[in-house]
Amino acid sequence: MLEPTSTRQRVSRLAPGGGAALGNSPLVRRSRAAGLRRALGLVLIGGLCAAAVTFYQESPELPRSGPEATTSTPLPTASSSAQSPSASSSTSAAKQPARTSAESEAKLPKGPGTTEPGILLMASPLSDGSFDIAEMVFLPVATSSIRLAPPKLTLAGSRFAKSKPVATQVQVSAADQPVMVPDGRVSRSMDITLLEPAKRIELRYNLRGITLRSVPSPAGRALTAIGPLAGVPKSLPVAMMVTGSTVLNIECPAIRHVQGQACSTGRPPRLHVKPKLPWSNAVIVVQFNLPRPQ
Amino acid sequence: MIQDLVDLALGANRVLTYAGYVLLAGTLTFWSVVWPDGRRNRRLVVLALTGTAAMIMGTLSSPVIQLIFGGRLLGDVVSPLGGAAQLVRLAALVAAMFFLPDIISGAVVGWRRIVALTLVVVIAASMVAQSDAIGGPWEIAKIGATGLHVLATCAWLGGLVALAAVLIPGENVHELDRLIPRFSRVAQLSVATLVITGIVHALAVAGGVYQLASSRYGLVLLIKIAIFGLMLLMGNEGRKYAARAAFRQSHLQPDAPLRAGGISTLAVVMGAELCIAFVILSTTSLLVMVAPHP
Repeated sequence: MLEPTSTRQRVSRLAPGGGAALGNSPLVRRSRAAGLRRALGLVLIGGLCAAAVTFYQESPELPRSGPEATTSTPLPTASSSAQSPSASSSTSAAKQPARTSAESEAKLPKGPGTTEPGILLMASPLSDGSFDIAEMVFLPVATSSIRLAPPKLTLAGSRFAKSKPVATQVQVSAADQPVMVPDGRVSRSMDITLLEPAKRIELRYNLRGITLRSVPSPAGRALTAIGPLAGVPKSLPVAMMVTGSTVLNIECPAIRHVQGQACSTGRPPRLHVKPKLPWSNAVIVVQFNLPRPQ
Repeated sequence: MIQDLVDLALGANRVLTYAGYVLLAGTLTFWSVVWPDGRRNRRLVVLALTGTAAMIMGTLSSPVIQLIFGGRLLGDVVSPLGGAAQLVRLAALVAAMFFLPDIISGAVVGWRRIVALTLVVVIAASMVAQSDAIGGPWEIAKIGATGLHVLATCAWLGGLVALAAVLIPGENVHELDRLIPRFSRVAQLSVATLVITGIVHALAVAGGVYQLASSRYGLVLLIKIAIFGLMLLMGNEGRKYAARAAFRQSHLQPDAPLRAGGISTLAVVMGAELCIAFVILSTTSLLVMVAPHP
């Protein structure tokens, strides 16, 4: 099979009986086998290429453990500031019933970060002025790395000019696989490479260095500025919600019209940001009373 | 524990895939660029078929291991692009398997060379599509660097394996003076490409010099570079021995003991190089697992 065969050699091997005997000659059998091999090869190649195209188009609908875990992720609450490092660190943990039975859980809203590309950011104040934050990131295409950076608070106004936001206890999981963040801390922009490309990424962290106590004001009254830690394409929408009985109001300083800046909807303990802000403008200012230390 | 075993199995599977790639793509490149008449060499055919089988096994095993032993769902273990790339790679491997007799039915020049190199490029592209080059910042630079890196790897390591398979048995010493200069040019170009693209890729993935220097990824990369340097030294020694052997072959009277000594030394050097090459592939597999923790 591997030896080259010239036409002259082939002709010289033709059966002397002519056409009738030709069908039984080794040359014809070899030629038929080669034709069969090529045909089979082409069929397989065509089938695999068609499967590749189909897979690329249809695979977002494939069953995955991510969405179930994602939609039942507990919302951050004031009582959950000390997160166990193993709280959401493994695939099997994501399937534990305990995770869905926690009293702090609530069904996540449909929209950016859950059912459509974008980010769903959920924040809850703690007594020290920091915020416990969960971010659900849903990307339009799978990515192998994600950029994490503290939110740029320049949009929040000059009040926050000296604020230096730092995210601590940062936990990241991509497609239910834990991803390591150095020291669990994000104080500057950094790129985190995922173990494998993923469209769904979840972040849990504590954001500090963002709260200003309002003076003069009632004791405990404070303002804080919040934005997503995860970097995504600038046009992707970000849905934001702030939970906690002490949350008073939400302002969207990036909205040009003054009427639109008071952008909260819903009632405490759960306020939503009415518009879905593009990522590039996704900064909110939250007015709240610092929860009393327990 | 089970997760550790799954990770170990995935790492071993990655080494199998890389080794298969080096054998198949390297042999096709060797035929196309270095020795078009080498198609008659049965050892090279065996190398190509072994590489094809290893790559098919590696490509199929990766999701199977995660599905069966990792307890994960299909949507978790393959991204749309990654899955499509694997299917396209399988199509290319089927093409290599079914049409290899046609590719090597004559000297690997003209359309045969085009087909062979196209297969190499498609397989390399499918590996890039599954790599960490996709997504994140500097995506184009990372894709370009990774693609050239992967191609240079097959040209160099694969060519080395093919050269060893041809020369070490001592039956084709007369080919030395033709093959060594051709392969040297390919190897020099490949090594230069590997160094440049390796630097670009490492910096792009880690996110900068500081991040690279202070990460585990950087440490493993440093080990890989040290092994790579050792291999270059060995390669240089091998090249010198081969040049002397070729000179003796061309200009001195055949002297059996002398020639045998030269070739056995060459065999030892090339064997050591191949062992180091295997270590490099294993280190690369490790790099994929730890990349990057800046």
